[in-house]
Amino acid sequence: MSAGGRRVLAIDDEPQIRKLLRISLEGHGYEVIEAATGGEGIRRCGADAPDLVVLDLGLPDLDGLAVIPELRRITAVPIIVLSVRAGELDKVAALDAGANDYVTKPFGIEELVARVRVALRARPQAPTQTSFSHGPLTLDLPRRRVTLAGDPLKLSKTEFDLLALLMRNAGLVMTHRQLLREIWGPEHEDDVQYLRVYVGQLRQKLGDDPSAPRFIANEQGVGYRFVDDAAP
Amino acid sequence: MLELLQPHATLFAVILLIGAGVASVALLRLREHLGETRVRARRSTLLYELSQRLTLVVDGREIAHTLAATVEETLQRGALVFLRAADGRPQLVDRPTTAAPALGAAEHAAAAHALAADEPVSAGSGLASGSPWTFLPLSLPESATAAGDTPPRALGVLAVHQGALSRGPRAEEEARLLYAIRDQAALALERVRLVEVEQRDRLLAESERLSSAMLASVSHDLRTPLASIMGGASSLLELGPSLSEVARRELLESVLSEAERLDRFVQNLLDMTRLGHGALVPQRQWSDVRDLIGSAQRVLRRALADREVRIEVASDYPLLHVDPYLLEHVLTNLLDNARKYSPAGAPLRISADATAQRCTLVVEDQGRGIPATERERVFDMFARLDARDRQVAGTGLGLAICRGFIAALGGTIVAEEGPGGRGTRIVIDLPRTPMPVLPTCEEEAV
Repeated sequence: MSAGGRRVLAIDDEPQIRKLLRISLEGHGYEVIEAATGGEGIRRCGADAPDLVVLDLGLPDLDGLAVIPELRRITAVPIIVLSVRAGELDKVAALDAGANDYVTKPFGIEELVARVRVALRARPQAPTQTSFSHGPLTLDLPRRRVTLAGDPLKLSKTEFDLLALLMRNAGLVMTHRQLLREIWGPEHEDDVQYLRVYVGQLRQKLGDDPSAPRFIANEQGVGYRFVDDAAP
Repeated sequence: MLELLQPHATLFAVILLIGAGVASVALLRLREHLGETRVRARRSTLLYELSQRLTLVVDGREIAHTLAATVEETLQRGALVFLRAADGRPQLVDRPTTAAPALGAAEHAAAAHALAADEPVSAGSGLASGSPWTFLPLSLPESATAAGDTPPRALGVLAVHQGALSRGPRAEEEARLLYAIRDQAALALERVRLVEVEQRDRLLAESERLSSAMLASVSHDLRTPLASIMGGASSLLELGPSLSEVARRELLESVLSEAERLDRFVQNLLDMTRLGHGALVPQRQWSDVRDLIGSAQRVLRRALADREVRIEVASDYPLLHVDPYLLEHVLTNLLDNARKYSPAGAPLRISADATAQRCTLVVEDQGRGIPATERERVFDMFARLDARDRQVAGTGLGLAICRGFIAALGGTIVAEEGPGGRGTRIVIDLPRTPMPVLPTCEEEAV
C-alpha cells in the first residue's frame, strides 16, 4: 500500500537501526531521510520538511527528551520515539514533552509501520468527525450513544467521555496523564486508580478481554490505546 | 647424773630427736604440699572457669575483655589487651571499666614489638624500660601447632601492670598462672580466627559456584537462541529462492521467535542485576491484574501460540498497589516456566482471588511437577533439578527473580503440587491495600 510519497525523518545513532528503518519504510512506500545525531536531526527537520519524525531517545549528543522541544519549535508533524524497554518513564516523559507515540526496542517492524500509519492519518477528520466505529462498536458523539453489534450500551457520563476520547485517537497511545487531565481535570492527573477502575468497567460492558483486547489495549506503564485496524 | 643414762636411752633419745626432726620436716613438707595442692586446685578451677567462658565467645573483642578481666581478678594487676588489626599493628581494646593507668607512646611501641616479633617485653627492660608494664604476645604454645603448619603469628598482646612485684615461689606461681591464662586466650583467639577463615572460604566457594553456574547458564542460554537465529538467517541467505514458501516462512518464524526468547533472557539478566544491587525500590501504581496478565501473554504470544491459557480473575478482585513492571516480569517468567515444563499444547491456567487482607495469583500447569523436597530449592539461583533441565534453557534465573520481585512487593511466592496431584501450582500472595475513595458515579449518558 503506497504511502503517497510521505517523507519520514529517522534520527538514530545506530547505523543498523537506520538501515532497518530505511529499508522497511521504503518498502512501504515512504521516502526516508536519515540523521545520526540530535543536532543533525533538528537541522534536517528544518531543512527537509518531513511529514513524520522517528526519534531514538538514546542519542549520544542530545538527550532525546531535549530534542523533542527543539523539534516542536519548528514543526507540528507527528514524532514517534524509539526507546529501550527499561525506559518506561522516558516514554511517558517523551509523550508529555510533545511526542505522539512510541515503539519499544527491540521492535518488530510491523509495529513501527502501524504507528507511522496511524500517526500520519489525516487529522482534520478528528474535529469534524462525529461518529467513530471499530468492528461492531459504534460511538455517536453528538447523540452520546454507543452501540455494540447493534445493541445500545448503557454507559455513565465518565465512561462515555473516556471511550470517546480513546476512539477519537484510535491507534495512538494516550498517556495516563493525558486521559486523566481531559476527563477528570488537571488536579487528578496522577490519580491512576480512577483510570483503572473506569477502564475496567468499560471493558466489562464492552466484553473486552485484556489478554486479547478488541477495543482497549493497555500500554504497560504508559497509558491506553484504542485498537485500530491499522495498528496491531 | 648423765653418766647414769644408759647408752640405750641415749640412742633412743637420738632416734626420737631424729624421728621428730624427720616428722616435722615431713609435716612441713606435707603442709607445703597441701598448700601447693590447694594452689594448684585453685589454679585449675580458675583455668577451667576461664576456658568455659572462652568456649562460648565468638568475638575477638570479647575474648580480650574476658582475658583482661580474668588477669585483673586473679592476679590483682591492671591488664590491657591488644588485638592484631588487619594492617598487622596492635589495636588496644578499650576497657572503660578498668582501673589500669593509660599507656604512653613508648608502651605502644613495646606492644607493637611484642606483636611483631612474637617476643615478650618485660617491664623495666628493652623497649619497656621505664615502664611498669610487661607485654606478652598472645600466640599459641608450640605444641598446639599442627605439623606442617606455618607457625602462627601472635594474634594480640597482653599487657600486665607489674605493680608491686611478688617475690619467690609466689612470683613463680603467679607467672605460671599468667602464662596458663595467656595460653587459653591465645587458643580462643586462634579458634575465632579459624572460624572466620572457614566462613570466608565458604562464602568464596559459594560465590565461585554461583559465578561458574552463571557463566554456564548465560553461555548456554544466550548461545542456544543465537545458534537458531544465525542458522536460520544463513540458510535463508544460502538457499534463498530454492526454498519453498513454507520452508522460508518456517525459518523466518524460527528466527523471530528465537530472537524474542533471547530478548526475554536478556531481560531476566537485567532483572537479576537490579535485584543484585539490593536497591530495588518498587515504583507502585494502582494496577489492574488483568492488564498485567495480558502484557505477559503478549510478550509470550508466539511462544504460547500452541496452547490455551485460561484466565480466571475473580470479579471483585481489587486493584493492586504494586510496581506493574515487577509483577509483569514475574507473571511472564511463571508463564514461560509453566510452558517449558509442560507437554506441548497442554493448557495453562492463571487464577486470581482475594480476601479482605490478601490477594492471590496462581499459575498452574500440568507438566512434570516439582518433587516436594525440591519445592523450596527451585527458587535458588541456577538450581536445576536434574539433567533433563539442561535441555530446558533459561531456567536458572526465572524463579529466583520471581521471589526477589515478590519479596520487594511485600508478598510471598511458593510452589505447590498441581491440581489433582499433577503438575505445579505457583502461588503468589500479596498484601491488599485499600483503595482511596473514588468520585461518586454521575448520571448516565442519554
